[in-house]
Amino acid sequence: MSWTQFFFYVFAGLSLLCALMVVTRRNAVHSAIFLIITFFFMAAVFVILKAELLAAVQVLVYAGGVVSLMLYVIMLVKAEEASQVKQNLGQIAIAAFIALLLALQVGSIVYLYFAQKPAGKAAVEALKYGGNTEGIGALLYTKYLFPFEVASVLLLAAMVGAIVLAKNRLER
Amino acid sequence: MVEIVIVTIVKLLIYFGIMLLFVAYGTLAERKVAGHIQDRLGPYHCGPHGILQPLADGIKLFFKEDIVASASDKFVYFLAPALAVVPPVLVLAVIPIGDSITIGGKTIPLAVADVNIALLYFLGVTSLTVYAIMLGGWAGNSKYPLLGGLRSAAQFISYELILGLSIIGVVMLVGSFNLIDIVRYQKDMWLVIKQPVAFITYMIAAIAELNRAPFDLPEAESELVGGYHTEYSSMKFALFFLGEYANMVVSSAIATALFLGGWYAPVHWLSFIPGPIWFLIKTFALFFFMLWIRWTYPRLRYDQLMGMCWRFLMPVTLLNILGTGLFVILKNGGL
Amino acid sequence: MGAVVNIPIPNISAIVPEILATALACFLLIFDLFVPKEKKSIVGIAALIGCIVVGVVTFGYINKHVVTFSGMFVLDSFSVILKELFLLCDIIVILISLKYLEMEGVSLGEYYALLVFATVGMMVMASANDLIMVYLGLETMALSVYALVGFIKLSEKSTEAALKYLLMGVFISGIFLFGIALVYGVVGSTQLPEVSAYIKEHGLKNPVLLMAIILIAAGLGLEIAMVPFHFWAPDVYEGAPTSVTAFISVAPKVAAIAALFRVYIEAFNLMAPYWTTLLWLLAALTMTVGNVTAVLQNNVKRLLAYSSIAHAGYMLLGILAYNQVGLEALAFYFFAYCLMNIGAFAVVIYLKRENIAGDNIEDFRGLAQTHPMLALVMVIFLLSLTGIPPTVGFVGKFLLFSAAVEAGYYWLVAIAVLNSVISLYYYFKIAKVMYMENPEKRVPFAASIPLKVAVFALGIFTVVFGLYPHPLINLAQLSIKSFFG
Repeated sequence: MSWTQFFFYVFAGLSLLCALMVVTRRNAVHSAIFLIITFFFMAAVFVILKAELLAAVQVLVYAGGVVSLMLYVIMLVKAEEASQVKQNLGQIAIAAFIALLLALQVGSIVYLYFAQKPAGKAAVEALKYGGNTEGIGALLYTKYLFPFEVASVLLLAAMVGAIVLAKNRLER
Repeated sequence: MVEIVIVTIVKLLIYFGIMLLFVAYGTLAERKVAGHIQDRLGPYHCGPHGILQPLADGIKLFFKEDIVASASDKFVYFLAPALAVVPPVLVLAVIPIGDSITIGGKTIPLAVADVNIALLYFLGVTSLTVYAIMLGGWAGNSKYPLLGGLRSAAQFISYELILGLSIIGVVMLVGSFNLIDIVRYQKDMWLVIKQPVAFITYMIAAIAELNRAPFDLPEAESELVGGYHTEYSSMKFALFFLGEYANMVVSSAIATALFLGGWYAPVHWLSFIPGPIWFLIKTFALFFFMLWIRWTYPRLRYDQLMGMCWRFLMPVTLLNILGTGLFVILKNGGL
Repeated sequence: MGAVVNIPIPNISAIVPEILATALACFLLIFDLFVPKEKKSIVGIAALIGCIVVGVVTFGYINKHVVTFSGMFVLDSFSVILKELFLLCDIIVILISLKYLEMEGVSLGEYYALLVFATVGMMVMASANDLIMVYLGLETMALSVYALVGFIKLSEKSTEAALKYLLMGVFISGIFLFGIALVYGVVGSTQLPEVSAYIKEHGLKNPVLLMAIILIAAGLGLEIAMVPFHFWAPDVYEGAPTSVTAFISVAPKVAAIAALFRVYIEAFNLMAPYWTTLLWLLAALTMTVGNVTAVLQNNVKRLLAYSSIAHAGYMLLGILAYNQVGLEALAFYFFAYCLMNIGAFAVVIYLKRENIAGDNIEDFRGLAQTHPMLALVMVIFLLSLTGIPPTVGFVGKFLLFSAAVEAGYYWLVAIAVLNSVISLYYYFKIAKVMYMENPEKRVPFAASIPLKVAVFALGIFTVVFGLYPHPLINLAQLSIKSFFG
């Protein structure tokens, strides 16, 4: 096992651990903090996979932007009340069983299939442009031009929807 | 391998030292500048002209009683001040204080890390500063700090956008996110001449992100008692303080690299002075500029602050990007 | 410094309908600012005209076959027909919304803009030749619809419905994306033809792709309201504004089924033995659960919700048949379902009065005495939903079932026919209340002219296309060209 692999497993494991903390913490603010840490470890995994741009975007957009907006909402909710809400409806055993089953199924399939395979061709393709910033830029303006534009329509629609839902409540 | 590690550690220690010195004397400079602008002398008693004042302040903060708010969320309460200092220290890694130097036949680049996404790294790491303020405001379980923290979050996220959009103009001209490339591009002409609008919007956004006057609404004393750090005392308060000044230094340093030609001398016959010195001089000039603004302008109202961001700065930066794009196309011979 | 990239100029003419629809939505948002608060229906009329224009323009592409934007986008007759259908839904829904929104007190210009945004998303889904495009179209549609469902802010039911829909939607999105990621991990591309080529080259024995098939069915299954992803449907249909319910019971469902069809036929055609087994089970379950649960309902909107779940089961037969007749029947059924289902919801809106929601089965009591024409139209819709001649629903069901028989699904068709018999019971529960019971009190309806036009036009078309289905069949046959030569 090379150092790269070693660090990959360390960061991947830590990100999983933090993700687990996100869903198990009672206090929503603590969950959000662990979410930030999870994003950081994921960014570290991206760096190990030589996708520096993705790592930076991960930190900038998710850790820096999205979670701070989430925290904004969480802080306006009374934390003590929120943490006393019973969060499961007695279905935890069934839910855990099904989740475990699915995880085992997907895990075994993915492991059995991908264990012998070399790296995907996508990484090699991206390196053609000499660096992943240029690579992603080039892909966004050529192959993925249309999805990129549709995504902007998507965001516009989401924004309009959110404003409609928020605005009118204030007016009344 | 070992050599690289040692060199990197030495570089880090030196930069950390420089920054701490900068921060310590930054606080003194703030008080001195404030004093002189208000026609008084500022600190005068610790050492000649108050030169030992930062030391005295440090000792005072160290030995003050550390009060922990009893209704606070302890985990977050302790985390927030630490988070305040981390981002600026992380940014140190990509600041190109000078070109490479040669010691004993070996060429050593002066920047700690020569990465091709340095600018994105800077943006990403600084965007974490908001958590220190938000969590600090929330953890104390107290109304005014919470309001301060929330105000700051809205302000920070809005101006983060302006900061990023201002930088894009520079990146479009240079064609790289690498700060060293950006500085080298400015060998003959500083980017502040080609991108004056971007420079102005960058400085406004940087000051707003630092929550400094005239944008210091998160800690507006008259409305919010003391702002997000009301519940903190002693060293924890000092860490918030440290973080704010460190951020000022880092923002100034990045602005220097982006717009003021980094380590290059302003005129050719002055280039006998080494690059790092120039870099520090320029950084200090911008730092002084921030102090000057703080003690000159009154505080904005909150709606004015947000209105300026979204209704004025945002279109201006977008137009700047558009203009830069047109310029680049025309320079490369049209479509 | 950076590498020079040659940006190919894509064939923009192929996406003119999408561009026009997006422009229409943006125009409506801006136009809304200049319209005074009490006259917002002007925005609706503008949206109506805009949709008609987009529809006419789109129709010009009916015989084209273009793949553009580096294989992301495909324009073929199937997608054009679907786009026409979505725009038709839009037009009808706008007609029935104009007065209804005022009665609910939420007459806002953004409603129409969101409706058009949802349509843009579905148009993209119809033309998607790449799993990413399917996802983006789905999300554009879904996000607009979440806002539409929660449009009556003062109503707790509406807000609850929106939240429920949103939570289910984002959760299922994750599952769908996971399926896409698995495909990408194996194939190295998400484009449908490339997935197909990969399977051809490397054989069928691939557990990851099998998993992906299931996850993609789950991801699209939410919008289809396919069992076991149907739990949200009754609550959301009941809570949402009725005009929005009419919209989401048809358009997103059709879009998702069409997308599922395209993905399975274009990308996983060689794996048909696997996904037909999956769909067989899901179709049987969906029909049965939908119909059996509908029997117990007393709220007409909930009843129609379960009925629409059942109809999704019937439509899955069209994918299962996986032949020319099946596709033709599916395309026909889309139109038939659009006419009769929106029609039924439009009657519910018709019954909406001051203080009376109009969605309880009691509200239909004695309708035949007070409003014989309206009761007759409702009976036509109910007949059509059951699949009794002479209505368009009968022709649709007949085509679907015969296609399935041709493909050899005797048992499944038997289940479907049995289900149709069950559905007769609950549809005619409404008819019975209308004709056999006496009205409680006479409250005049406040139906507007657009709503009347919409209800009676839908009723007439339901009968006309039931007696003379050839125009629709011809249209449906065009769609075959996209897949079977």
